[in-house]
Amino acid sequence: MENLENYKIASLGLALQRKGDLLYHEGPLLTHFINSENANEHYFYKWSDIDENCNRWLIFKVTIENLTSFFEGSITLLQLIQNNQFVYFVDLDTDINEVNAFICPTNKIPNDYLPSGKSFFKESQYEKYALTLRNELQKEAKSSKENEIMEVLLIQLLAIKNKQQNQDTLLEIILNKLNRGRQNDEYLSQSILLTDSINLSRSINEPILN
Amino acid sequence: MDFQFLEDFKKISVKCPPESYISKNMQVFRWVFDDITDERNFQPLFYRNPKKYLGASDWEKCKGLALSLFISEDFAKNRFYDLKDTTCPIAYKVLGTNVAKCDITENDGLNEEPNNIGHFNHHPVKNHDYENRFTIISKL
Repeated sequence: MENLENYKIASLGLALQRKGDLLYHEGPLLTHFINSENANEHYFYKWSDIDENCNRWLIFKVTIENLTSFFEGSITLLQLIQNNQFVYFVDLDTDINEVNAFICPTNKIPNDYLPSGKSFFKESQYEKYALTLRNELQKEAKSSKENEIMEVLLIQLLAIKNKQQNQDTLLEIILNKLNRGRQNDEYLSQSILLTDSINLSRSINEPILN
Repeated sequence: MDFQFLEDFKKISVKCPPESYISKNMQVFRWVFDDITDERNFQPLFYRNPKKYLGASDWEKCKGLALSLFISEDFAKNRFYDLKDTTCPIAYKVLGTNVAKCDITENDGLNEEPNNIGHFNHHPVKNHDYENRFTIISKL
């Protein structure tokens, strides 16, 4: 097996839960795991090497966005790996004991451990589990898109409602002003009328000097 | 049928081999290592490495007790090169290095219906003697 001693770590330190095999030939070759404590954290185990005692697995993280792109055929399995800054390797013996663990910068992965640049998703080559996972992701993406649309609609409706409220407030202010103006006018008219009456009364009661 | 892994079938709760599997006379192709007597050539993975199947469903265990065969040399090669592209250039270390062929009979075991890449699982009977009946025909 390739020498990875420079990248050796005490142990993998990941608590992962197996979800299903994506590639299989008389045994798993590519398997999907999730973090046992965070179901949104996805990992792939890719078979990479073997010797008399152990199988070596390359473990790398995958984001939902990258996984979706992979299933859509926009990126390869190689790119899924290379989208990480670093990856893990683990050597498992026949009793599935962890014999060695490594953390390796992605650009230092031996070429013999990497898939080719042609490693696009091919439905016919993958296990049923891969198709189930792809469908689940598509469903989630659809539902999340619908939610996004609903959110945008809600924001727009709220904006319309706010605008309507502002218009109502403005209308109320204008009406109030108009009413106040009208009241002032009435007051003014009443004042003029009163002044006129007083004047008239005065003119009647005062002796005519001329 | 007196299957090679009958005792292992009894340890799992699903019907193994599945009901839909049939016996058939046909020419089949399989990946093998250089030495045809290499014990890995005709031993299913679950049998060789049962602990690898910890947490696997009984159906997966049943599948792990079958040998992978192809209906043509081309199908065998195409699948090999696809898996090599998808896993790594040294995939031959676990998958095999040659294509071998054999004429199997309806007495040799039960077979799955081949899928669209020409692959099917085969549950062999005891004493199939495949080491002497399979012949290497090409290098992978």
